[in-house]
Amino acid sequence: MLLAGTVLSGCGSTEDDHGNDSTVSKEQGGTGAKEFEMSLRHTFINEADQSRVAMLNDVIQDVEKQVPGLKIVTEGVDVVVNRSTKLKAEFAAGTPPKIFYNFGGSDTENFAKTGHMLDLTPIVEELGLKDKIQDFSEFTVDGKIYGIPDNGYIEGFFYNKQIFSKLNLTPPKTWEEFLSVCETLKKSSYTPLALGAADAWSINMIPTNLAAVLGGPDMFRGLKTGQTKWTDPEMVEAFTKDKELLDKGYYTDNTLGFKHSEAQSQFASGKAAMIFDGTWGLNTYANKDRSVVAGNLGFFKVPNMGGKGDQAINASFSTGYAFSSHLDENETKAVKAFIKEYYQEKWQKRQLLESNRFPSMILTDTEGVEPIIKEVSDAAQGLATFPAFDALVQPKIKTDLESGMQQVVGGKISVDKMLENMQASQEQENKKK
Amino acid sequence: MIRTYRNPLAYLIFIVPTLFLYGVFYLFPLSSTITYAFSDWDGLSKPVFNGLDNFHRALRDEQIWKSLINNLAFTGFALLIQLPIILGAAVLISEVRRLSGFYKTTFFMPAILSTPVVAVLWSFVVFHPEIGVLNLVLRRIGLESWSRAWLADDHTALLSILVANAWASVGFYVVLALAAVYGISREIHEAAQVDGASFFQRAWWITIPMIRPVISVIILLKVAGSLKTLDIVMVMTGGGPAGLTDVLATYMYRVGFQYQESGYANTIALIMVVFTVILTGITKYVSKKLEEV
Repeated sequence: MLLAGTVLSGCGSTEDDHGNDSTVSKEQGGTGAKEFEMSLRHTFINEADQSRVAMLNDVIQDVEKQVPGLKIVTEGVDVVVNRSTKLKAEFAAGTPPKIFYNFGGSDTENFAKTGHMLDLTPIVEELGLKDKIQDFSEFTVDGKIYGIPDNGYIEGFFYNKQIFSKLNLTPPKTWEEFLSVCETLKKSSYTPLALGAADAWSINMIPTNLAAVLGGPDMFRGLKTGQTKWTDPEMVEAFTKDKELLDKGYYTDNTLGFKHSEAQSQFASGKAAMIFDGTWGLNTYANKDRSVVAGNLGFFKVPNMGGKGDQAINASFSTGYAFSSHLDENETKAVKAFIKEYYQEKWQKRQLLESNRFPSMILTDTEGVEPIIKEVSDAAQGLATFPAFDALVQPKIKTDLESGMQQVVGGKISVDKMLENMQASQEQENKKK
Repeated sequence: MIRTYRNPLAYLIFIVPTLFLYGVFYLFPLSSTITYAFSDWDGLSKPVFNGLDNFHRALRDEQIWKSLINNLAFTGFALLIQLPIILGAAVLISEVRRLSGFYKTTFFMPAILSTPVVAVLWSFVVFHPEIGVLNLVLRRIGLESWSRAWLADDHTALLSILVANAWASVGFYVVLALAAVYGISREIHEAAQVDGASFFQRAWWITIPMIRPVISVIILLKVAGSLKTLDIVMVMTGGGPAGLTDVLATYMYRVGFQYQESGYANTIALIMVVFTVILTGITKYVSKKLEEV
């Protein structure tokens, strides 16, 4: 009996109390408001994310003051575990957390299908957020909005300005210039491009960006419908060019032995002169305590390759808050209050200044913002955007490309064969449901 | 007392808790697995019965066979390398007069670490391409060409995992075998010494045969455990690079959680059960035959 009890109690989730001020409920206690708790799941558990947790707790304090009796209990879970295991199990059981941080794209699509996710379209209309948020597309399923992005990212090449000026290099504007920049860097014993191929997803950023620049921003959107194929010439050219970078030794040595975070450290420590990454990396690169390159950070988008996507950049707003559809009257009020409070310029600006997260809302006041942010947004000015390819393909395709590219990097399969396998896999996945 | 045995209520009170645990934690998950193994299910929506499709797919799935081979590599390493070390250590420690406690502790210490901790320890301290001790030492002694990314290289990835695994698990079995060795009557050894038997002769002809039951148990545990391996592989390489070090459990995890094919993942789980039963059956049969010798 004791054993059963101990085991069953261990099945409950661990909750850590962040910023739940008991004085708040005491203030409201006088009005006799009924106390109720709501769960909030976030994924900010890394050292680099501490400022986001602090900000979240401040938001929660303000929301609790506005809704009598409300107590929000936060829980932090690792981002990969949350999205691939925990949330899935909770949605399958029909008991997702009331408020949770979520990914747009296929994550939102799959969860929305279960019916346990709150349709936010009426709330968004009511609060007038439609015009304030830059892009809802990743959280929209069948015309309904299921989540509100709170930050976005832009992907491109970050480079070390100090190393570049030492070797008289300028950000390349064409592919040929890019290759010559890499060659010069390699000759001067710098790693031209940091890459942690042990984290297979990071290998695919460059080739898929090249494919979109060559084939146009809709290159990956067409895969599900069969309009575009993995074996199309632009795709083959993109992946072959990426293999060229590998063969010429421009990537980190022994790249399969390093994770993405280690590649980021290689760039931040000045060993590598460039890294292709998203603006989420700025938390490391622009942080003076963690990075030697902080004051000398530069950015350039994928150089022009004479393709249909020369005027496009990889950018997307694909993370934000979503809510359970099982809410009673008080909880619905709390959700509205949370959305109203959280999605305001003041928090967006604070997020930008503290953790270098690109705002999902258009900011009118940009005082005190780091110069690199300005450089990145200038680079993206006026360009069409396309999201990361994994938001547009089925989960198995993403995993297949990851293992396929690890094999290419390991020299076990040719680019052509890998792309053939990808197309076969894509056709199989497209046939399903 | 006898009255208690005759009382059906007494039986119930003693049996029900265990039956309850058995039902909840064994029978129910097993029946769920069997149900889902025959269906097409993404883990979120309703499962759809699809007969033997999953099993046909498993037969043609190369990755399952590659994973099984890796599992068998764990078995082989356990029996051919770990077992001799375990028995050798047990025999040696039993002969030592002073500091036997120190040796026992040294062998047993790694066993108290949880497997993910062992995995992280070996991944960073020993096998890391830049800061790992192995490469550092190789570079110092001038064998730089031998240094590599141990966990990413085709030839060394699985071996590295096997070594780390062995380091962590040997200790427990050494203590087990040692207990059995201590159980051998001293007179037999003294008689052998009087007859002029050397240390090695005594170990091979007396000690080892006399702890045969414990050796059978160790072999059985090792064989069953090698098919269940998950955590050490998952943390050290995640089954990579590109599925090279995959074992059945890591492949099953990927199929269930990344490919979102929970039905097929359950099929793989069922296949694991079948293989485990077959292997342990073979082990027991061979054990029995050897005992009769």
